[in-house]
Amino acid sequence: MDVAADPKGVRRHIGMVSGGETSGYGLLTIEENLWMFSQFYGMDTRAAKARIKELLVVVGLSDRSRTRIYHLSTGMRQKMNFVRGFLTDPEILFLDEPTLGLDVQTARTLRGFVSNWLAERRDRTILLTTHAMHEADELCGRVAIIDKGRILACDAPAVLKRGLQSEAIFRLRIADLADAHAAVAGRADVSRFAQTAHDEHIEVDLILSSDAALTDVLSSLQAAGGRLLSLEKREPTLEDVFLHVVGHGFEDAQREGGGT
Amino acid sequence: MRANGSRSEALRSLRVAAWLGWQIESNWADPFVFAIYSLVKPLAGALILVFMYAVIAKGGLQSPLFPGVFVGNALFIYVPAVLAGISWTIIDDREHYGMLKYVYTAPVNVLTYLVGRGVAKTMVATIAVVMMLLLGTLALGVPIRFGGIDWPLVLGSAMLAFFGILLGGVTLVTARHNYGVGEAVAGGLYLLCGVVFPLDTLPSWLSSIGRAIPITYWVEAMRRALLGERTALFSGLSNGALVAILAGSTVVLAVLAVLVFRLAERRARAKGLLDMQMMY
Amino acid sequence: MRSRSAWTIFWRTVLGRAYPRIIGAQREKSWVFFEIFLPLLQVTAYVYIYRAIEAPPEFIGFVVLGGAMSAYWLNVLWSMASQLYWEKETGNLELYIVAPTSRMAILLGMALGGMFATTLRAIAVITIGMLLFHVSMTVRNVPVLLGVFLTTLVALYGLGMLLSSLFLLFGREAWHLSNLLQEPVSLVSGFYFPVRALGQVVAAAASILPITLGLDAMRQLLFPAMLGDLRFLPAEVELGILAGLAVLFLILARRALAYFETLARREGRLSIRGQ
Repeated sequence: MDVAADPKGVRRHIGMVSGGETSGYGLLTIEENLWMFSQFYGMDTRAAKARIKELLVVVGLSDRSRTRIYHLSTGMRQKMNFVRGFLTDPEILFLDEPTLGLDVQTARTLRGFVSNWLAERRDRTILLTTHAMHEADELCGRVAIIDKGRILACDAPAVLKRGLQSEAIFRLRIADLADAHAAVAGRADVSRFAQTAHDEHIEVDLILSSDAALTDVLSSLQAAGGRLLSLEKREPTLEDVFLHVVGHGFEDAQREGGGT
Repeated sequence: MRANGSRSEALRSLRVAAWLGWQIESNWADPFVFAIYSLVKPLAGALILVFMYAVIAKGGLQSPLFPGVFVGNALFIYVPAVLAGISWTIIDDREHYGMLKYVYTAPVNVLTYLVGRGVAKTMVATIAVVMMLLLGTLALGVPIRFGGIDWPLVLGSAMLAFFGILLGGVTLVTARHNYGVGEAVAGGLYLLCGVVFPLDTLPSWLSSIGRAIPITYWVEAMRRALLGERTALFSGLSNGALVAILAGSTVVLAVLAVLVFRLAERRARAKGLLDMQMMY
Repeated sequence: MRSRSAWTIFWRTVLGRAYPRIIGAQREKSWVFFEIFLPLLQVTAYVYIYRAIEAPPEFIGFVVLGGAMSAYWLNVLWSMASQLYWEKETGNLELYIVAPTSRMAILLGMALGGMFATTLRAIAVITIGMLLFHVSMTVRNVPVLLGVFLTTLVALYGLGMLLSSLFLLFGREAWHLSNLLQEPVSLVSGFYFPVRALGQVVAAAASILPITLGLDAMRQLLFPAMLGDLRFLPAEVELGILAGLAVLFLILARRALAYFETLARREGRLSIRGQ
């Protein structure tokens, strides 16, 4: 199907849920708003109401079905948006930062919901855009890492992570040093470097060419005045993959508008 | 120290809000927008009256009632501008820009903020009023004394701002409808305050209500300031008495407006209405 | 889902979008004050102007009818013309675009819902107005009156649908345009006096707005005593023109919507907020 030539045809197959959405009409209840959206897809009213009821139970909103939506919190509103997106059982669903600004519990509920939906319907596709790498790791069969509009890597999360297994990944917590950049960056044995400042210390993520390089790196940090608080050797995560392929820290990339 | 701090906060809020209102309401770079608010809207309103008189009234525009009615109508432009300028800010910030909750979380004096937002509309209204008065003098023969305006009578205008705040309070706890509350109430005041017909044309119970509303006296004061003549209903009232009535009612209204606004604020906070979207 | 015909989706969308207008609009009780009591105050003000200048009693009837019909014009301006702009600002428009439905169906739903809610208001204004000011109307030709009324509404909301798609691209300017159209239309459409008083040329130009001819025809049919002196065109001719306008506006609305949607989509304006 040609998206440009037949936009209307495409719409029968897709759905969309964005983070921080404020759609719907405040004076209508959750149930009424969802019913209204179901009508834009031509759903039979009885079938729509049954499905709304079922999905509201899944996301834990069934006791609020008759609440007018201007009374809802951000989390409740986003749960309603999820129900709206899944109501029509689309073949392809676009989730754009769907858990943006949600509390941990709600975000987890919604991720669980997406996983179950996908597990039950193998013929469905979800296209998720997110800055939350653990979310991509948990939900996605394939992940594309995009930086400045270019796809730098695209594969299953496990495959992407396996690519880093020959390298040594460490997380160091260092006190008495404001910036580890001068001591670490630019060394031949440090393939990637990122740091985050905390109140009393900095946290440094390193990808080294081998475990053996660690001793030299620690010496440099000590020479620069740093005091090692802890050291952790980690299994590679998607965030490390991002660091590796993009070449700089994830927060820097967010500031510059990159994402996955 | 504290008093100084809150005064400077109030002034800062007023200044920022006036600037913001200016940016939003009066896009002076755009002659189209300027023309709508300063010319087309008030002109159309005035022409409805002119045609009603021209077609129906005995003597047409020479009818003795016409100058007072025309001037009352022109000056009344201020009433919806100030009332709506202040109360619509609540709707606009709440439902359009989603800003109201941030205004409430910032160290801002909400009352002066609202007045500030009304300032821009008042300025646009001033241009409109002047245009209409010029039209009246130059094209319709309304005898306005531009040289001899009686300024103390004009001072009662401050009262309008408190009316705006009063309605702002009401808006805090009501939904968005076709009309903004400011424009709507202005519509009612247009009837009750003897703006376009002598107040005693109304049934006596309605004209009594009119006589209890300060804006009736403001309209009379402004008419006297511009035309120099007293209307039949208030002929026994001297200019000094009129100014005293306006001053007294301004004080009462100020207290009432702040009280109502604070109550509405409390209720809006308790019911979570500061960031509601009530569109349908 | 693919089996659902475009027609099923169309009429379900119409009902779906009309629903918030019909139900939601009545839910906040403050509407009674804003949309019945206050328009009545406005009507009353004009009634007393006529009383002050000793106008014939039919003019009071003109004002009451004008006041009731102006409810539709305000609804078209503020809840049709600028509505897609508001929908864009709140994020609903994106979802309308993603749904496999026609935007015409959404506009039609808004129109029907608005028409229903406004009819309640108009009936209230006209009934209370007639009782308060002792207006007597003589309904001579019910079918033509009904025809004029319904055709006026179709043409008026057709115009609203057209403006809605035009305003989609104007952003905040749309707001000013709605404001621009409020009082001047009250003047040139003759809400408060017969449009003929403005002269034949102005009346003819104002006839592009369906409310002008609709009001003139309804006044002729309800106050036949004034027929000879004050009518603009015979009611039957006005009905014919109104029918033409209705078809014209609906076709134009459809075209404009498709055109502006493509344009807005190409320029990425459909999801820009705070314009």
